[in-house]
Amino acid sequence: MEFKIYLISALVMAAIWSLPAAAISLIYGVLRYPNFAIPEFMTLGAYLTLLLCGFSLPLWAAGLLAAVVTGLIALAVDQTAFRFVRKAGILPPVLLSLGLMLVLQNFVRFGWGNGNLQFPILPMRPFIIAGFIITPVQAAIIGLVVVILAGVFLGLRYTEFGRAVRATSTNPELAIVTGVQPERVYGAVLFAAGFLAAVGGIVLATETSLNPLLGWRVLIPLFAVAILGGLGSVVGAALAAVLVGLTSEFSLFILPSSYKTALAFLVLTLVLLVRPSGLVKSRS
Amino acid sequence: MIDYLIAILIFAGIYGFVALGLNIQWGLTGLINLGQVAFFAVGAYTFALLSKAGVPFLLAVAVATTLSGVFGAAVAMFTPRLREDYLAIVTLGFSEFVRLVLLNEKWLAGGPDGVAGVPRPASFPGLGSETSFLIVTALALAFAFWFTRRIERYPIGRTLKAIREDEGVVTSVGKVALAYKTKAFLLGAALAGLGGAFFASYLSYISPDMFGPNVSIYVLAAVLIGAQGSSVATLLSTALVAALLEGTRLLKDYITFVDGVELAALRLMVLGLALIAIVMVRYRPGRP
Repeated sequence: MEFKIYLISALVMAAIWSLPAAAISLIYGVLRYPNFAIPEFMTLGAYLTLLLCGFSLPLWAAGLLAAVVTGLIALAVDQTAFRFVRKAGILPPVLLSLGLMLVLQNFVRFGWGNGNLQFPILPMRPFIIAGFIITPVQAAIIGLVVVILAGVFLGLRYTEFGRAVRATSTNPELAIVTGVQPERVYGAVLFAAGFLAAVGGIVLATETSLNPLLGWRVLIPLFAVAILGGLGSVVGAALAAVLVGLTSEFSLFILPSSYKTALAFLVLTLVLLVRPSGLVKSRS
Repeated sequence: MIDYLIAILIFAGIYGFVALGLNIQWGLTGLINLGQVAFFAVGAYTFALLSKAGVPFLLAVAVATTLSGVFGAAVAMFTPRLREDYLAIVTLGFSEFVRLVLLNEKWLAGGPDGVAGVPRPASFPGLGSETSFLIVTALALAFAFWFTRRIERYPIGRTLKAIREDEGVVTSVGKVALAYKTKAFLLGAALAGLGGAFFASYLSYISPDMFGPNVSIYVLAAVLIGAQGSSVATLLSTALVAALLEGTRLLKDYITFVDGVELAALRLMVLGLALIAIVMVRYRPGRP
């Protein structure tokens, strides 16, 4: 029984992590820097959803709109700041993302305070399927994430623009020679990253609650997942999310729950030391 | 008003230690460390627990400094040959790891309640506690400054700079780069720990939420303004950052239309925007 509860909870965690981890992974793969502001886009997306719910929009519509707006904000920040340090190596964008992290987190704190808030959703009776207990919200989260991940994967794989993104990730110079406009790729990647992160933040907030530290608290698991998944690989990120989710849930048998994040840090360090290329070798 | 000035100067001094430490790691050796607050926290907690147990001030400071240095060396030794971007992630992750341990292990350091009643050193005769503390901080900072200047000018400093410019060259003349990187991390972390000890002593109360990433960002910004290199520039820019940030803390008494949480959030937003602005100026296209 206990085993089945942990399994469901691990899968839900994995679903929640995989979208923002894919965002980190995409930016890392294409622009080659770790973006520490991605967890804050999760927080921002969740709070924007709450704001829009206040205008009596249904949660799904508010969430979709908030995710698009968050994507646009990510794009705008990229165009006004990150764009100017594109050729300056890895450090400037890292520092910019740290600054952005502070700005976004404290913007939310300024607007909504430090307390825990909830989306206006009513508790629903859970389904019981073959002994597995799953709430309708959890089922919806897993379904939504699978659909979005499949969309991103197919988009990268089979569309012309997806090919341009992958080409820029593999070999930027060659991509430019073959007519890819890198700035358009970068812009699209940033919008997608903001969008994915926001959806991740919204589903995390539906499962837990809204708090200015919503995203910051999962920063380390997200980076563990993105690196373990092989940076730049969306499928890898999803697989790694399941693996890290299972590890951290089943660690509850031996560790107190407050150490989930610390455990993720150990996983992260081990991966970096032993297999920095990740589980799935990315195609670059 | 003079009290405020003394408080700002003391904070500037405390962050000065941490920034001097980061300057050895990042400015001199080129090793990025986004988790300097971890060593600051180790120093603060070690000092707090020891001095509450009755250990004399100087000895508690010395142990706190040493232990932070050991932590720094350990981080460097576990992350050899780690790429710049991975080092950034690991150091940031490590600082959060340390904070989580402090938050969760109640037996060790009081958990979320923190440690209260940390003593200050005895005051000089005829001077107030604040003024005495400022003098002690200034003396210690002068010592730390003299020490880092020596490192910059002595052979070890030249080797560290050479590692920053080209690690391969250093290895090719028979020096073990890892040993030097470890030393740089050790020294930088020890200085952060020294700052932590003064921090705990000055505030007399510490708790895990004081050791969030914003402290690391504070000193990153300071070292960045000081153009990563000389100790003089680092100290001056730290004083500037501390004056701006701690100075705005004092606005609390004059600004009544925002509450405490909002004001704290605004200050950190300003810090974030300042970091962004500094990076944009420092690394703008066309600058070497």
